[in-house]
Amino acid sequence: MRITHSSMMRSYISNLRSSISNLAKSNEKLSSMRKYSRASENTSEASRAYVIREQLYKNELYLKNIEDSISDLSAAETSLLTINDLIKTVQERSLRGETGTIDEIDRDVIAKEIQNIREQILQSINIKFGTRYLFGSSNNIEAPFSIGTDGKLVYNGTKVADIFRDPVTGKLMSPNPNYDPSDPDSTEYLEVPKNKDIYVDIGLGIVVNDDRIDPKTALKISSSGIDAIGYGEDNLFDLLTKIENSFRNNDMSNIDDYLDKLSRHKDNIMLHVTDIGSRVSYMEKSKERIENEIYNLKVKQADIEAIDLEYETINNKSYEMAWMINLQLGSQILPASIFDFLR
Amino acid sequence: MSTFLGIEAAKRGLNANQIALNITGNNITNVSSEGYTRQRVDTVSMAVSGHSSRFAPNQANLAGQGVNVRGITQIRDAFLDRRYRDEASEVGYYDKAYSIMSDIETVLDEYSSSGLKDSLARFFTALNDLSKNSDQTVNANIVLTAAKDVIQVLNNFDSKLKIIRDQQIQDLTTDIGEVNTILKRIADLNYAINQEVFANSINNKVAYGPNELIDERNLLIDRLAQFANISVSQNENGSVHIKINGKTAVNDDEYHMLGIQRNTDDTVTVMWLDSGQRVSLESGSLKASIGMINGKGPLATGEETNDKGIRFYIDILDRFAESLLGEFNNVIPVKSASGAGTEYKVLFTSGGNARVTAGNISISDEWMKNPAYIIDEFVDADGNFDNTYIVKALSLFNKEINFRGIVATFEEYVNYYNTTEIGQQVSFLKGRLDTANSVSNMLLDQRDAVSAVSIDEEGANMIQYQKAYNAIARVMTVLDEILDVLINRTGVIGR
Repeated sequence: MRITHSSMMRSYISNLRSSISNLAKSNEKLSSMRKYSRASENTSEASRAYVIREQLYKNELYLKNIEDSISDLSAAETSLLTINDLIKTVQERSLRGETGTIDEIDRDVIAKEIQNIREQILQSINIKFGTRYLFGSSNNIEAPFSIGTDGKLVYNGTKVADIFRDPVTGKLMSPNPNYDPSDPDSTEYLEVPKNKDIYVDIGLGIVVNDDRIDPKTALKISSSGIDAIGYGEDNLFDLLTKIENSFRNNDMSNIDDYLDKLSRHKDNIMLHVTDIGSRVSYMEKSKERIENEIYNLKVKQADIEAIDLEYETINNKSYEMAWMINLQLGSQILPASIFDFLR
Repeated sequence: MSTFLGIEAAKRGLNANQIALNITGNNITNVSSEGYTRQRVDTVSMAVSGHSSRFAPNQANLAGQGVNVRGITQIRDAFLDRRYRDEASEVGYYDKAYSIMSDIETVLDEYSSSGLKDSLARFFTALNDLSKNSDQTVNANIVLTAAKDVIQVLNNFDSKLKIIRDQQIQDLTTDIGEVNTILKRIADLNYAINQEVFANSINNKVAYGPNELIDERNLLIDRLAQFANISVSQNENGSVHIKINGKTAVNDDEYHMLGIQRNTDDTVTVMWLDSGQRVSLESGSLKASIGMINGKGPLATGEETNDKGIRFYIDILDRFAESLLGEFNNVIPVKSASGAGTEYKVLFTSGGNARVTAGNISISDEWMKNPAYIIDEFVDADGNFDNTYIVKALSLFNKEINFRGIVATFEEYVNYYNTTEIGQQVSFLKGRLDTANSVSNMLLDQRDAVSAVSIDEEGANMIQYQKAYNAIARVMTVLDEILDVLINRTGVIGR
């Protein structure tokens, strides 16, 4: 085959081009520390890389959700423990006042103490953590509990004493303030307002059925004050009012009954503390699981997207050498021809 | 038997060798000229003709008349030319298609730049934060900003793709202008060559023509081959007949021009100017341009083609915008005193157009004016912290949505079009381009093996012609001495 000047030049130039292009690509990989800069360079790996990136950021979100909830619930737990201690104090005082021989002034003192403790319990149950009322369920505009004009406890505008549990639906109901007996659409009792549970996503695949979140697919972060304080005539607050009045009026007839109910409240509160505790421990476990997941994803991501530094550096050196050799050969490629030898 | 026949023959010889040396010099000086084909002097021994006398003459008296230069030929292989031009139109096609797809990939890149996926991730994060504080206007504001981000990315992608399309239409118009110029020039060259070519009947129609003009014409035909698939045939009078996909483009000195028209729906039609018929092409860069500009994919209608071109990718983004609007406008209900109604809050609009596209999707006026629009308001009574609908909006990100045939979540859809459609197409085109380039280079090498100048060869030829010239000069000297003996020293007795 005839080898001509132009074909030698062409093949030399095209080899030079591919050599410098390899070197440039290798330099780019080293400086960006990434294997690919375009999805088209390896579509299947790019596809996997996208999925991993998505899982990473979502898991980091879930982790944050859990961490926020843990701190919320811990605060709620502390609050409940405080209430527990306060109840214990009331019990001690009442016992002393009941059994011992004390005079009127002492009884007054005890009544005042109980009144104080009642205020503290109200404050504890109305605790605001950040921007949320911890025991307000779905109410966040104002403190969930307040004192009504008759001195009885009010929850989200409804008298707690009037709240009862519907035996059929199991939901907490209260009288409808706008009940109109002549209106067929108006019901006598409504669900307690703003007492819904609040859920956040922690990556269990949230399912929403008929505008209700399936509780198994999300994390509940709310606590209902009603559950802790109790509802009906014997809610904690009103009960304490009755005990206080007993001392104030020196009417000890029902004090045993009241103290009984009080101790049941104490048990109830401890039950809630346990409930919160178990929720927190579930969250801790989820947190661990998610942290592991994030770690594994990051390892996989590095595997797919990041370069292997040693391998790439060696490649780079060999490309550089190939480039140098190409350049040096250039001076010899343009060959000697016969004219160098004619006289 | 002529006295000076020998000298005449020698003179012809000197002349022929001088011409040969000139041609050798020409070859060497043109070693780097593009498209130059090496030339050779075609010589033949002078024929003795006995037609002028009545009797067949004695050959011996009339023989030895010397060398005749028939003409200067170029050495070229028509078969290799044809193969090279076929490959050149493949290269033209893949080069253009790859370069346009590469542009599209850069615009829609998700891998190295912050694209649709990143803005979707921020939207998700903002919604997640809102779900934990679903009464806070601050968080609602952040959601609005994130949603604006997503919209902006969509609008941006759409407008950049349209800019690419406009640029490609411009380029195509320029290319067609260039094709027309080439066609005209080839026709002119055909005319000029025709005037000067004569055929050598003995040597089977080898045309001795104006070699430089023929080289120029061949170079133009090579250039034309990149634009479209052509077939070239030689006419008797030395001109060429070029057909583009079966239709005559140039024949002798007449040529037919191409025209381009931009339609109202932003497709293009490329046609023959004189007949108005659409040009059909099998390969070449024109086909790639038209395919990319008009390509709508499998659902092409009208002037659109079935290639996956710019219109196809605009449509892919439109589907995303459609589903984004469709899903998010049907998730957060408008609440009244009696609870959730049947109407939903409108978060995105198509800005007054009948059909929502990636270009016209925007945030609704209600939401723009009031960032807290997305919050569950229940204005009459006290604020409700119910986050059920925000969580429902969040769950849309896990929902399998039908994007007019592709069933995926929002983020999976972006993955899909980025890797399966764009990524695959770019890497396929690059592979084909590399193959076509290497085949084309190989054919060029083969062509050069036949037609290009080899300096060593010319040097050897030069020695040969020089030596021949010296030898003939010697012959002439001998003949001169013979005549000298005859004229000056014959019959001089007793002087």
